[in-house]
Formats: sequence, C-alpha cells, structure tokens
Amino acid sequence: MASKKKATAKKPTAKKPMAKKPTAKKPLAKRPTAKRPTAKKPTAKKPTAKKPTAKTQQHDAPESTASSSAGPARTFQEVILRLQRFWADRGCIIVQPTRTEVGAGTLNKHTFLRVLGPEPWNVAYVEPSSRPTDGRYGENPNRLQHYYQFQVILKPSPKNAQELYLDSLRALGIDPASFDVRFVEDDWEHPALGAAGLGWEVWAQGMEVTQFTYFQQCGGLELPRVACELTYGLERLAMYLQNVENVYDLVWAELPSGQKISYGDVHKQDELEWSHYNFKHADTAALFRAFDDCEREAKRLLAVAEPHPLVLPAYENTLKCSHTFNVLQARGVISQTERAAYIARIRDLARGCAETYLQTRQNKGFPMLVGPDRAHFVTDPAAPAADAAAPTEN
Amino acid sequence: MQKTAELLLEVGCEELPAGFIDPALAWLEAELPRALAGHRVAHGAVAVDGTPRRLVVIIDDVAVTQVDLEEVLQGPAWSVAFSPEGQLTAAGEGWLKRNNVDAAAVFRAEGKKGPVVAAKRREAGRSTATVLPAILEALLPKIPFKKTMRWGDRHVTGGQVFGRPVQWLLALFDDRPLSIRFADVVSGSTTRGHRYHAPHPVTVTSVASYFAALDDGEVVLSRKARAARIVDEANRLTASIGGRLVDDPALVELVKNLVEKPFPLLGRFDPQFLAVPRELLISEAREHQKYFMVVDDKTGQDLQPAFVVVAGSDSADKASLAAGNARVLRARFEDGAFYFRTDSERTLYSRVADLDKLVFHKELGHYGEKARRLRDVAIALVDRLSAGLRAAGVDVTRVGADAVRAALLCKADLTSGVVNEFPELQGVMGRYYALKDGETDAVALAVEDHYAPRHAGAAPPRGDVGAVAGLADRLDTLVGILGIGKAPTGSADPFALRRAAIALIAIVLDRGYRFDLADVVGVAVDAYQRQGRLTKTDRARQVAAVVEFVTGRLRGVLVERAAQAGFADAGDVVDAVMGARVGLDDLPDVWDRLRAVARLRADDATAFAAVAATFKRVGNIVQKARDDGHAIDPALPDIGALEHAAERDLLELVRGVGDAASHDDTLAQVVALRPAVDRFFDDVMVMVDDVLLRSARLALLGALEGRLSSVADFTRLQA
Repeated sequence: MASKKKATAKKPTAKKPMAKKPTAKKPLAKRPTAKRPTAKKPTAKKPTAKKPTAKTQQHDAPESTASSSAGPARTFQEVILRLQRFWADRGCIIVQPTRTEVGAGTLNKHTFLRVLGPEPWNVAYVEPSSRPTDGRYGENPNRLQHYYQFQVILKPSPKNAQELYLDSLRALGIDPASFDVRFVEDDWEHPALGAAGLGWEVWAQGMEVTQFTYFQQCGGLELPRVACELTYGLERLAMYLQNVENVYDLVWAELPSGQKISYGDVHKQDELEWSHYNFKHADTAALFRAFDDCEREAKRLLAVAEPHPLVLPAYENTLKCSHTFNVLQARGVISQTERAAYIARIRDLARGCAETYLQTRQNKGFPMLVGPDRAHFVTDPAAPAADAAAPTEN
Repeated sequence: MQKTAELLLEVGCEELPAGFIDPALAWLEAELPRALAGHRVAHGAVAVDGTPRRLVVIIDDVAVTQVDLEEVLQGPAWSVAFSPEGQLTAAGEGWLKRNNVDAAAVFRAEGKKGPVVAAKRREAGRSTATVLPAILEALLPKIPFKKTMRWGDRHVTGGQVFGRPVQWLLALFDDRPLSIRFADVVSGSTTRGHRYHAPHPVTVTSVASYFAALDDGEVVLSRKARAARIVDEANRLTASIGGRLVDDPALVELVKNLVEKPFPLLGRFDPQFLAVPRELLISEAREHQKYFMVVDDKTGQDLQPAFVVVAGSDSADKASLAAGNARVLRARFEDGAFYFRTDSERTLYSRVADLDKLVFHKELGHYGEKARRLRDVAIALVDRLSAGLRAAGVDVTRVGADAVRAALLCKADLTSGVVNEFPELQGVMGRYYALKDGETDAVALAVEDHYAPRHAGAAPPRGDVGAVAGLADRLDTLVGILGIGKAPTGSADPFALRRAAIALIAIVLDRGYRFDLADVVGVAVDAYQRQGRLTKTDRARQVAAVVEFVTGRLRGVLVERAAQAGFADAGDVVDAVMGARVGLDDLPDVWDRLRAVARLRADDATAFAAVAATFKRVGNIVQKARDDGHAIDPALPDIGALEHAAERDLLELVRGVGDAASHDDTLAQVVALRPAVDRFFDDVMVMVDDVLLRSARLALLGALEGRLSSVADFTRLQA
C-alpha cells in the first residue's frame, strides 16, 4: 500500500490525543503515555468504597489500582494477592478452589457451569490443578503433577477484556511494552467437555503466561453470552518475575522476620509422594470401581425428581470420574482403545450436567439475571425470578 | 469529468491470527470494487493492507455520485396484469408497487411468450456518501475467515461473527466520516496507533492524515514494508556476528503478520546446543517461538549460537527482553535435545517393529506392512533399472542392497519422539538416526530423500537409492489408496495422490529412468495382495487405474517443465509428443522429443515449417491409402522396386533417418529431406496401377511417416 501512498505533507491535522478523557467508558487505570514507564510511581491509593456490582459490564475500577503496587510482585503469594485484589476491584467475586481434584480451573463449576445460560458471572479464583501424568517426583524444574492456575471468568465478555488483562499484568509489575506482551493465536478445545473457544496464548518475552479465550461452546451447548476466560499460569509468571529457572526455587513468601519460604518448602514432598502414588501405588482395582460408582451416582443424581435433578452433586461426581481416569492413565492401565471409551463416558456425564444445570436455572427463572439485561433473555421480564428471594442459593 | 474522492475503510480488531489477514484483504480487494460497481459507483485504484489489528482498504477516485440508472423492467404477461377491459389487475398492481413504477409509465412490450407489461425506470444517481454505508455494512459480515467467533452478548452484537472481536471502525469518504455499524461497534472518526506506544484514539480527517497518524503511532501498515524491515533489521543485527538469517521466506511472511511494527532483536544461546541436529533446532525455534536461526554468513550452512526474535514493541529494556526470549528458547532446545537423546538410544532398525502399531490407513493396515511392501517394490525397480544403471557405471549390487535397506527403514522414524513433535522432520531425523547406527551414507541419505521432492519445485532425491525408495513409496500409496476407491475428487485430495503422481514423474525424469510403469505397478499390487489386501479387485484393472492416474498428470508436468526450460506455451508440443507414442515405459525419451521439437520451433521457424509440411504431406497420402484399404509394408522397399531418381534419392535419405544420436539430429535430417520430398511429389505418382510399384512407394512414404511419428504427431502443432 505504501507504493500508492502519496508522499504528501506529513501530519496534516492529526490531533494529538489530548488529555481527553473518555467519559462514560473510561479505560481502566491510566496507561503510561511515555514509552518508559519505569520511573513512574503513581501514588498508591487504596481502592475506594466504590463497589462494582455484577452488572458493571465495563469493569471500571478505581484509577490507581492497576499500577499502584510498587514494583514487580516478588513472591508467589504476592502474585496471587495482587491478582485477587485487581480482579476484585473490577467486579469479580473471589471464590475458593473446588474441593474435588480438577485438571484445570475450567472444570471448576464456577466456570464450567456458570458460563452456561444468560446469567452474568464475574469470578476469579486460584485453582490447584492436578495432572497425574505430569508428575516427575520433584526432580524436574518445570513439571509438576499439581500446580496452580489463576482463573478469571468475565461473562459476558467486556469490550475492554484485553485492556483489563494487560492492566492486570501491570499490577504484577509487568510492563507490556517492555516485556513485548503479545496475543498469539491459540484456539482451545476440550472435546471431553464439549467445550471450545477462540483466543490467544499471551506471550511475555516469548513465554506463554496466560491462556485468553472467548468461550463459544460448553457442554456441547452454544453460549448465548460469550464468556471471556483468562487462565494465568502462576508458577510461570512467578518464575519469570523472580527470574528463577527451577520452580522449587520460587520464593513463596517472605516472612516479616525476613525468612523466605520456597515453593519447594511448600510442595516438594507432595510432588515426590504423589508421583509415587499416581505412578506406582494407586489401587487400580479400587479406582476402576470408583469410576463406575461415581458414574452411576452422577447419572442417578441427574435423574432425581424432587426438588429437581441434583446437578451440582452430579457434576462433582463427574469430576471425580475425570480425575480417577487421569490417575488410571498415569498408572498405565488404560489401553489406547479403552481410553476413547472412558473419555466418551465422561463427556456424556459432562454434557448431561451442562444441560441439566441450564434447565434448573431456567426453571428458577435465571435468578441472577437482573436489570435491563433480563428483557433480552426472559420472555416475561416482569415476572420475578422464582428464587430471587434466596440469593444465597446461587 | 465528475468529481471524485478517496474512500478509506479501516476495521480495527483484537489481534487477528496471522493466517487470517492476507485472505481477508484479498477478499476485500476483490469484493469492495465489485460492490461499488454493483451500485453504479465508478472508482479508481484499489489498495488493501493490514496488520493483526486492522484491515484497511483505500480506493482512489471514487465518483461522488452514482451513475444514473436507466432500465426497462419487464413484468408479467400483459393479460395477467390487465383485464380484458384494460383494467389493472391485482397482480399488475402488485408488480407496479414492488418495482416502484407509476402506472402511467407502463407500456406494452414483446416478451418471449407474447406481450408483457414493461416500464422504463429512471433513477437519478444518488450521492455516493449516502449509498456507501449500506454497501460497507453489507460487506463486513461476509469477510471470510478460516474460523469465526462471537463475543459479548448476542443481543448487542446481533450474533455477528468475525475473525476476532472488532474494536473500532473508521470509514472516511471525501474526508468526512461515514456512519456505519457492525456487531457492537459504530464507526467514528478516529484510528488508533500501536497498542502500547500510542494507545489513544487519533482523529483522522483525510487519507493523508490517516497515514500520518499511523506513522506517528508506530504502526507500519504495509505488509511488504514490515517484511522488508524484518529482513533488513535482522540482517543488520546478524552481520555484527558474521552471520545471516536462515533463508526462510515463509517465516518472514508469517512473522510480518504477527506484529504491527517489527522490532527485531538478537539473542544468543549456549553453543553446546549446536551438537543437536540443526533441523531440529530450527524447528524448535521456528514452530514454537517463530524465531529465526542464524547461519554463518560465508558458508550459509553452519548454525551460529544466536537467533533473532521479532518483537512487536519497542522495549525499553532490550537486553532483558532478549535474555527472556533466550531463556524460553533454551527450554525448547532442552526438550529437543532430550527427545533426540532418547530417540538415539535405540536403533532405527529396531523401530521397524514399532511400525506394526502405526496405522497407515485403516483399510490398508499399518506402516510395518507398508515397509515390507516397499522392500518388494524397490527390489523390482532396481531389477528393471539395472541395465541402465550399469551402463551409467553404477554398482547395481550396491544400490540394490542399499535400496532394500532404505525401503525397510525409511518410515521407521515416524515412531520417534522428535518426529512425533515435528512431523515436518520425518526423514530428516531418520537420516541422523541411520548415520548414528552405522548404516551406509547412501541408505541414510535415502531415508531422508525418499520424501523428495517435498513440494512442487523442491530438490529431487540426491541419489539412486533415495530415488528408488521414493518411487516405491509413491507407487505403494497410489496403488493402495486408489485400490480402496479413494481417488481424489475435485479439489479434495486428502491423500495427496496428485502430488504423489507428479513427484513420481519428476523423479523418473530427473534420474532418466526407463522402465515400464505398468509392470512395476503390477509388482506393487502383488505386494498388497500377498498381504491379503486389495484382493477383491482384478489385478489388471488396478494396474490400469494407477497407470491412467499417473498418465493424467503427465501432461501438466511436461508443460511446466517445458516452461521452466524456456519453452513457454508448449502445450501443443506436449500434445504432439504424447500423441506420437505415450511412452510411459520411456518418460525420458518423451521429454527428449519434447525438447527437440520445442527447440526447433523456437530456433528456426523455417526449418520447423519444413518438417511440419513434410509430415503433413506424407501423412495425408499414407492415411488416405490406409483408409482406402491399401496394405502398407512396414519394411523399406528394395531400391530395385523403385524407378524414378527422385524416389531412389528419397529412399537413401529416409534410410538414415532415425539412426541419429539425438532427436535433434533426427529433426535436422527431416529438415534436410524437404527438397527430396518436394521433388518426389513433383516427379512421382504414388497411386499407380502397378501393384508392386505402388506398394513400394507406399512403403517408402509409410516408413518416413513412421519415423516422424515416433518423434511427434506434427499435425497437432501450431507453427
């Protein structure tokens, strides 16, 4: 195109962006205008009392939080704390990990079930993720059978999802320009969950630090409201911020006394014991039985009539099936042909749970669907949600 | 001259996948002008360009008003629109309404099946600015992407899909913003610069100010300019260490579409990794990280312990950015080195057994079976080629032994860790493993080369062993896949059979191999049948199907090769030489004849015309005699059977034709024949009543025609 461009006078009227503040939709946290933001030390203001509500789709937040934390997050727990603070300030509820083993934060019901249907949902949580086959007895500097993800769901996906994400990196002390943060195509698919999304893996200095996905489908169901899923690899981020090559060398916390607690102090014995368990000691006969039992239980619970199908316990049993299968894989007792059959069984359960969950929410009148949004999804928006009076149940 | 103005359309997106950009722009380049033409908007040059965050079209000299519309509309039959009394019927009224035609404008016209209602409609051209928004809005949802996605709320976006979420729209015509809407975005009058370096919206008032805004905003819109910047900057960086980029145009094409402005950086890695096969290092860097490896500037071969990463932003801390990228690369290299080490712990030969677990095709069994078939076909091929190879001074026994070994080993690396990770290294890794095992150099090279040429125009196998293994592999795949009825249809060729056939022809031509294709295809069919496969179809039919499939690709290959040899538009020459004798038992000869004829035509038009004229003249009379039932003796007549000096002279000349060393010489002989042929036809009457004399003369012409036909069917040639 350059060939066609006339080499006319440069800069005709291109107005420099003045300090024009977009009014209604303010991009979060000031972005530094200078290319070298390092010297900037914005005054650390505590987030104000402004309480973002579930319907703040733009996820506005107090001006200062993004870049207020002084310097890079220096410990593993600091990364978690800053991310929690950051997303809490932008209207996400902070929940805790699921109590069942999962391979990824996506399987937590706070993602897998909540992305279904029209109810808005903004949540952030740490998810301890179990991948039995990845265990290396605590000897590999990068591979763990148990590691941490930081999971964020923004539903519906806000228009400024990328900017929000970049601000969260700034909050950790990662300047996107300096670290050449890039969005590199990476579509995500989880056939066993009937889940698929499009998006990117986010690179910082050439390393993938986050999976950024616009959920298109879950449990085999098309999503009427696309959810944005951010999955941060916490160990990777921390290794990178602390500039260490071995995960066990990460500083988990620095105590007021000055003592440092390492990732190895916290988890090395776990890795050793669980690797032995997953690869050598797990009772396969019991696990095969457990798989069948959980599957049967899940199916039975999905068929309960009163008060309605018990989809949350059914889903938990599905997760148990999934983890049991993973351990059996690690034990090397599932053949290639059996493998496909087991995955199909898990997929059927997951889809059953997804459909049933959506049905139960619909029957309750989508209680979290409030405000003007409601008219777009409910035929009689005036009718109050059946369970509106009992929000705790959500 | 009507007033014209510039049109600018910018679609701002979240980072589009690199592969989405070029096709989307190509589509816009074709479809926006078409849409304008469809709306009677005249325009000038169209230019498109883009980055991961924007697709841009600029059209020059767009007329500011539409061309007036004048058309005659034809409606229903007159008798349908009007009652016998001349009253407008309901149907007639409906037509008028639908077409916005006044009843007074209606007239009677002759349609194909009798009188119909017609009306002249004239519509003054509207201002382009008023029709453009609808044109652009209709276009945007149709931009094609390999995968599309939704975002946000369906009730806000209207369920529109795109390659990635659209962030902003800028449409400018005649220096004024147009108002258009797509999904959840309404166009404005601003663009944006680089995501980090110029994040604020900038107002655009003209195409010139648009370019200025991008310049100021650290965005290089031109794809070409980004590619050039990558190469220039990278080479400047690598020159400092006496190196240059590994030649990889495809990677430049990819990387240029990963960033809005390239900022190449030089990084280094531990030289100890150079002990790992270079192809593996290159793949690790390229496939996972999109980094360029660096080779020694002088040799162009030896990898240097350095790489180039093309950053998308102008980092304030380049040293730590380079170090960070180097750290990631180190982990990749460690992975690669680990796989290579682990793979190397076993011999390639021991992996042949593992091929029994790797499925080739579910109806054709696993690769283990294939390897054993390849061995059988390779043995047959060396046997059929042995005379020619021996004549060329090749140790046939050696080649035979190596070919058998290579055929057996050539697929074994498919079970290795490295190839599992990088399928494109199949064969390449096999060569390394074979060398490590102490296989002969020829076998190791053949394991790699049996995939050659890897794509159209790529290097052919470097030796006979690789060529034989490669031919065996292609023949086996063609026989197998065609045998289970999976011939390619239309543009769908999932097993790349066309490519296999083309490669097969290319190898045969490159090596100058002469063998009967049908014979060797038969051997390949037998190899399947011995394994109890492809037994349901008749052997002869399978052979014929494969031969026909390969022949079907021959013309295209020859035309392309002729073009590469400098003979453009040689389609008729190819037809002529193929028409002479489709010698699939001697492809090199087909090629030689093709070259001789094309060369004569290119170099000496007069001589070429002489050959063609001779062929035509002789051919006509021979053909007619045959049609009239005259037998033509295949042998040359005895000189005593001829009476005229002209025919005796011609006989002497014809006797020599075809003994020449090359087809060029044969053609030269035919050229020299021209005066004798002319004299013959002047002096001699062929179809005389004397049976013996007539037979002798026909035999003479028949022999000449036969010799010429063995080169080409000259009637198919254009002068």
